[in-house]
Amino acid sequence: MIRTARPDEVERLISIEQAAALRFLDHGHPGLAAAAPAAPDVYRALLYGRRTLVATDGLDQPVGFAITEKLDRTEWLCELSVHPDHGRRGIGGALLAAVVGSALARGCDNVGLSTFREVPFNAPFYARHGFVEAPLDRVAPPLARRFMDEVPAGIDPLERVLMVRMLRPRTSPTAVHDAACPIASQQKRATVR
Amino acid sequence: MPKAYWIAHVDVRDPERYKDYVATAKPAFERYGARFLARGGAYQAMEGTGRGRNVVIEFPSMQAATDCYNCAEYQAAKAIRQTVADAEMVIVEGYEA
Repeated sequence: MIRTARPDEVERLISIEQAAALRFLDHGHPGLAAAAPAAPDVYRALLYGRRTLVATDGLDQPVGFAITEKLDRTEWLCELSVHPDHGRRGIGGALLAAVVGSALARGCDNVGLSTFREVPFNAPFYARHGFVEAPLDRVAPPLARRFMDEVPAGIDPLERVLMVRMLRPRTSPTAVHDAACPIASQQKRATVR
Repeated sequence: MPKAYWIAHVDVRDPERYKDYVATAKPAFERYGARFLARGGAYQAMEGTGRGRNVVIEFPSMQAATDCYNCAEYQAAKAIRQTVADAEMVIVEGYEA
C-alpha cells in the first residue's frame, strides 16, 4: 500500500535509505554507500515542506519511500528509495505511479529528477517508466539549478542526467504525449512483439 | 492436444493509454479462448532485469494462441501498446509429460 509518511517514521526512512545506498557499492560509487546517515532532526528538517509517500508491507511498516517537492509546474522527485529486501517487486514503480498521481492532483504537468546515467537502477529504471533526458539548457532555470545542487560532492556532473516525464491529463489526446516524449518513442530498447 | 501460453513481461509507460490497448485486445482474447493465469499481479523478479507487469495467458492450442496474436483486432491493439509500453512476449507450447 502507498500512503503519506507519518512524522514518527523518520528513523525508519533513514534506515531504508542506508540499506538502499549500499547498492551503489557494486556500481562505482562506494562513497555514496558509506555516507553517514543524517540525524533524525536533520532529516525531519529536510522533509519539511516536501511530500513523502511510503510504500508499506503487510504490517503497515514502510519498506520504500518517495520524497517530492513542487517546483512551479514540476513535481520534483528528490529521492526514491526501496529497501533491497523488498526490491525487484515493482515497489519503486508503484511509488513512481503514486508520485505521478499526486503531481497531477496538485497542478503539475511533469515530474522531474536527477540521477546517475549509468547506474542500472537509476536512469535506465526511470527510462522504463517513461522518463526521458532533458538537456540542462532546455529546462526551466529552477530545474537546472536543482540538478546542480543534487550532484554529489566529488562527482562529475556529466555522470548525472536530468530526466523528465511529461504528464498527460486524462482528457488530452495521445498526440500531446507522443510530442512531449519523442526520444522515448525512438528508444525502443527491447524487441516489442 | 497441448495448450499454449503467452508469457509477457511489460513496462507500461502510460497506464491510461495502456487501458485502451487492453480494451481493444479484449474481443480477440474472447474469440480465441484466452484464459488469464497471471495478469499484472504481485511479483518478484528473482533473476534478470524484470519488468513491472507480468502476464500469462492460456490458450486451448498453439494454433489458437498464434491466430489470436495475428488477428486484426490484436494487431490493432498491439499498435497502441507499442506506443506506451516496452515488452517481451513469447508463445510457448504447454508441456505434456
